Parts: sequence; C-alpha cells; structure tokens
Amino acid sequence: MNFVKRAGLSLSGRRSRTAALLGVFVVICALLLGGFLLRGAAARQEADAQRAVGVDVTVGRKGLTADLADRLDVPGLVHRYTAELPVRAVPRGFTPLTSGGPGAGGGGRRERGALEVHGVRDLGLLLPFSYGSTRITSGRGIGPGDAGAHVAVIERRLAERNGLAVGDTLRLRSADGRRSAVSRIVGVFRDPTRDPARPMPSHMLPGNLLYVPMATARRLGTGPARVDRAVYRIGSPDRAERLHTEAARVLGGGGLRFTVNDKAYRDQVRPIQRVGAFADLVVHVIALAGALILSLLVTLQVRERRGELGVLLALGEKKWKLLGQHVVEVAAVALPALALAALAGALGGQRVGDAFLDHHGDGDTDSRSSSSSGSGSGSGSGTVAAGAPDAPLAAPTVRVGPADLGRVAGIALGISLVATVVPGIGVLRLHPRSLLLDAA
Amino acid sequence: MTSATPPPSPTPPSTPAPAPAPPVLRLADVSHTYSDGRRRTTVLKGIDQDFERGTFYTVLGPSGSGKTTLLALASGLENPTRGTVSFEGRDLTELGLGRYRNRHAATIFQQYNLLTYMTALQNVTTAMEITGATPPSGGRRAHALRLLDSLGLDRAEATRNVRRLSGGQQQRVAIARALACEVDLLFADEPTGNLDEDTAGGIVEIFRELAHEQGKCVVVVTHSAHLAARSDRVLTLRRGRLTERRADTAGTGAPGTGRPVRSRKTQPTSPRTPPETRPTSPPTSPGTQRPTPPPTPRSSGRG
Repeated sequence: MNFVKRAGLSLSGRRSRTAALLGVFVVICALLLGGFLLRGAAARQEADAQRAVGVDVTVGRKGLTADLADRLDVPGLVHRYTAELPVRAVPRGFTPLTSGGPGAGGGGRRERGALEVHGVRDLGLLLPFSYGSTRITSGRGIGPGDAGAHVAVIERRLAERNGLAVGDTLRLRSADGRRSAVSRIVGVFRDPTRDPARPMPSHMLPGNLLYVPMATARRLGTGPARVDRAVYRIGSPDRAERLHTEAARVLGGGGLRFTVNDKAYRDQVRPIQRVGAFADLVVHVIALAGALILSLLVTLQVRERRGELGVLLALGEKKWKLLGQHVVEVAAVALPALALAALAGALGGQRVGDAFLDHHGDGDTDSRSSSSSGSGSGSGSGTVAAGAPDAPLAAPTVRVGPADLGRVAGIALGISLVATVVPGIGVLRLHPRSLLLDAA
Repeated sequence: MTSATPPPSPTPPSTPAPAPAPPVLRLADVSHTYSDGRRRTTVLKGIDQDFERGTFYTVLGPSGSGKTTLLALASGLENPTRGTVSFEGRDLTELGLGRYRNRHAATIFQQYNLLTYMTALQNVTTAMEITGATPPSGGRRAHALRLLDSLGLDRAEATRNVRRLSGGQQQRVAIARALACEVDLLFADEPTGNLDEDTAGGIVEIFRELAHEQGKCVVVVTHSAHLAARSDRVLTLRRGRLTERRADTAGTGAPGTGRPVRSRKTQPTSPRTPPETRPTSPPTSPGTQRPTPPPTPRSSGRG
C-alpha cells in the first residue's frame, strides 16, 4: 500500500494546499449537513404539526351514533377524534343560569332539562375550541384519557353564579329524572357568546353548557345516543379523501355531511413545509455546487501534478494506484472536514434551526385564534391546550445524527471520487513522457 | 595388393550451435513523428540498433536531433510511431510498457523529475517500493542512505526536502533513485550536466561499473565528449539517423564521422557472458574514489 503512504507524504508535504482543500471541504460539508439537519428538523416539526394541528374533518349524518363514529377511527389515518353527544340534564344542588323575563326558564316553571350537557371524547377537537373562540380559563379540558371518568368542564358564568371551581363536585340528573351522575369539575371554560337580550330557555343559554365524557352523557341521555357530529383530525388535507371513502363505507353515502377544515393546517404546517422544501433545495444546490467546486479544485490539482504522475508512471507505478493515491488524499481531507462540520452542526445547528423554523411560527401565532382542551391552567384570556391549532409546537430539535452524517459523508466522498477519478483517467491515458513534457 | 581403405568412420551428428541470445534491447526500424496540428515532424527515421548487456553506451548529437526522444522510446516512456522496440526479444507493446519500466528499465531525467513533496531519501525509497527492489540487507531506508551517501549526499541532506537541495544535489538524488531500482537497463539524459567535475567523474565510474561489473546496459545521452570518451560505444544521432563511431574517436567531438548502423550489430561477447570476460573498462579517472553502490538483488516475488 505504498500509494497510501505516498498520499500521506503528499498531504503533509503540501500543507497549505491541504489546508485550503480542508477549508473548502469543511464549508461544503457544513452547508450540506446544515441542509440535511434543517430538512430533518422541518420534517419532524411537520409531522408534529400534522399530529397537533392537522386537518379537522367534521362528519355528520342522520342516525350517527357514537359506536359508528368510533368505527371511523382508522389507525394510521386519524390522529385524534371526538364525537359530540348532546343531552339535557337537570342540576342538583346548584342553580342554572336564566335569561330573565317572560319565557325564560327557571323562573318558577320547572324545565325538563335546564342544562345542555355534551358528551365528548376529546374537547379540544370541537370547533369553538379548535378555532380558539372558546378557551379554557381554569383547569383542563376532557381528553381520551377521561373516558369513563366522572369529570366535567363548565362555563365560567355558571361557575361564578354558583361559586364553583375546579375540584368541586357537580350533581346532575337526567331530564326524565331516572338517572343521575356525579362529576368532578376539572376545567372551566369561557364562551365569548353574550347572554341573549331576549328571554330564552335555560338550556339554550351559553352559560348552561357543560362538557362531560361520552359515558356520562349516555347515562344522562333519555333517547338513543345520537351524536350531532364527529370530528376527526387527520395529518394532511390529502388524507381527507381516504377518510371520506371510509365514512361512506361505514355510514353510507346518503345524507353524509363531510366538512374539511384545513385553515389551521395551512396556517401552521405549510410554512414548515416551505422551510423543508427550502432545505431540500439547499441540499441539492450545495451538493451540485460542491461537486463542481471540488471537481474544479481536484481537476486543477491533478493537472498541476501531471509531472508527478509522469514520474511515478515512469517508475512503472500502476495507474490504479496513482488514482488511489489521489482518492486517498481527497478522502483523507474529506473525513476530518466532515468531523469538523459535524462539530459545527452540533454547536450551531440548533440556532440555525430555531432561526428558520421558529421564525414563521412567531409570525403566524397572532394571526390565529385558538383554544382547547387537553391541558392548561391559565386564567384571564385563557390558555390553549394541547392539540389546539395554535398550541405552541415543540421546539424543532436540530441534532446531528448518524444518518445525516452518513449522507453527507456519502455525498462528500462521492464528489471526491468523481472529482478525482474522472480527470485522473483523462490524464493517465497519456504516456509518461507527455505528462513530463507538459509539466516541464 | 590391395590396400584396404578403412571404412569411413561414422560422422557424429553435428550439434546445432546454440542460438545467439537476443540483445537486451533492440530498436528495429524505429521512426517517430510528432504532430503539431497539421505540421508533422519526423524526429527519428528508421533506427535499427541493438543494445547489449554489460555495455556502456553514449548517444551524442546536436540539440534537437532526437536524442531525448530516442531515450524515451528505448526506456518505454512512449511508443514509436513506427517500428518495434523489444526487450530480450519481446516487443514492448506485448510485454507492456508499464511492466517494462517497472522491472527492467530506469531513467535519469535531465530535469531530475523528483517528487517535490518528499525528501531525497523518500524519493529513493519510494522508487524502490514501486519497483519492488529489495536490498540485500539493512532494509530499503538503509540502502537508500548508502546510495545517497555514495553519491555525496550525507544524512542531513538525504532527509531534506528535495526542493531545498541544489541542482547538482537533486541530480544526484535522481541518479540514486534510478540506481536503487536495480534494473537491467539504465537510461540517463545528460546526467552530469549540473555536476562538478569530480562528482561527474564519479558518476561516470558508477555507470561503467554498473555495466562492466553488474552486467547492466547503460545508455547515456550527453553533449559531453569527455563522458562519451569513457563509454564503450558511442552512437551519434543526426537528422534522425543513428550512426556509430569508434569509441576512440568519440572524444574528438567531431560529429559525422561515424558509420551508419542500419544493420544490427552484436557485441563480441554474449549478453550472458560473465562480466569479467567483457572488454576491460578504461582506467578509473582520478575523481572516482567514491564507493560503488552495492548491488541490489530484486525480490523474486514482486509483481
């Protein structure tokens, strides 16, 4: 392997040239790695955003039941879903809101059910919450983990009227008075709808709306458990067609209401996709530019070293060993450059990723409204919950992984190989005397 | 009376004389033409020349006469445009120019052509590694140091980058590199041009000893009549044609007195003849007290 030894001697004997080549390689590898890291981070954040934001599809049909809605929860297609089962209930031990005036409920005439109780599986998916018009002001919402739990989320006005807070207990009775339920308040929400000026039945007042898990609503319901609608969160708009097909198969096509809401997706995911596409472009442009720059550099070097090639050929050195020497030299520069680029990526990649991926998020948050259900314990204007469209996405993680390094190494070495072998073959086709004469 | 005539004795079957061994190098009807756009220049015209082992040749000729081209063709650096060059009876194109250069021929270039990122020592050991030459003892480094020392380069100079050596020192490194390769044919293009008289005399003695004691064929292109006078055979190249003149007239420097060498000639001694049976070499000149480089057997298993 004397050509490897020669490569080492050549690198150490031409320090300034080696340093220049190393510098070029570091820049190219760093840019390539940056592109890959950015693309990876954008892809991860896009996937997170698709899960968190996604596209909400509302499915409705006459005769839709909670069981049928459950059957549309197709694994791999639907990230989250909820059904909304409205029932009426009678409060026990607390007073519902009334609108006052003639025709208003609660003024002495006993209503069949003064409270509107909605059974939900995932409160954050309901339109008022996902749009952000309604917000959790205290505690949390109802999520899939609450199925079977005795919990409730009540409106702020009802809570204030009765001095209720998170942790208190509510007693409810079905409209026919046959069944009752006890629920612990886990959250208080604020509906911005004002109380009506005209008298209205109590159950129609926005303050008399409660959310409970599906099981509680079923228990309090008096008729068949017909759900108003079901909301499914899917990753991207292009999956809506598949869900539609599935809904038509499960529910039947007749009278099916199918509404796709991708505003939040467009607001949040598209910018991330643009960053990803930009990163893709960066990777390709850098790979191409890097290949050209390195090819030119190495080609010039090979031409400059014609004399050396001629001497070695005159000594009877094999051509593949001469090419091997040049490849080893370039690879020996490319690998440390890759290590330096990886170090730079580990140190500065996060900042670059933040600069690219957070920038669009900051700009867009204000333009959206939102809300939700999962968690949150804020007060005042309320907090958004996990799963709401403008719930802050997890900060993009920009980390140098073996796959990224492998890709960059592959590209760098590929460029080195091509840049060395192609001009090398051209030169080595000549006789040694021609090379020596050219070099003289 | 009859005289009995003895019956004819049976004639023993005549044993065929052994076929003469081919010369170590033969140029047969070699012509070479350069193309420069539409212009074609024929540098060598129908050269026929045999080169024998154990002989020190010099090639004289005015500048531009094609001496370096002749050397390039003979050393396998290039193919002739017409004719054949053969080593021990094998056409070089059949043998492979690379293989020929690697195993059988070494060249000392006029421009030295050293590897400039290496030290003098590394230049020599690299050549040994490439050609697979194995010194008898002490390893390649030690042998290279001995060679360089024999040419007047001490250890400090040997371990210095060749760019930091003078022209004469670089020329000696180039010579050491060629000697280290231990080949059958040694070609040199103006090898003493940058050397002082003493060193040049020492180099000439080394060439003579390589030819006469180690049985190598040494071909030197030179303008030096003094060097030519020390060689066994002097060839003159003029207008693309090679002629030979007697060595005893070579030193006069009178060109054109040679005779054409269209017909192949063979040495009086066979190439296989032991060196001691070859013509004795001229006496060693005063400036040649340097030690002769030790012979370097080539490894049998190199490829």
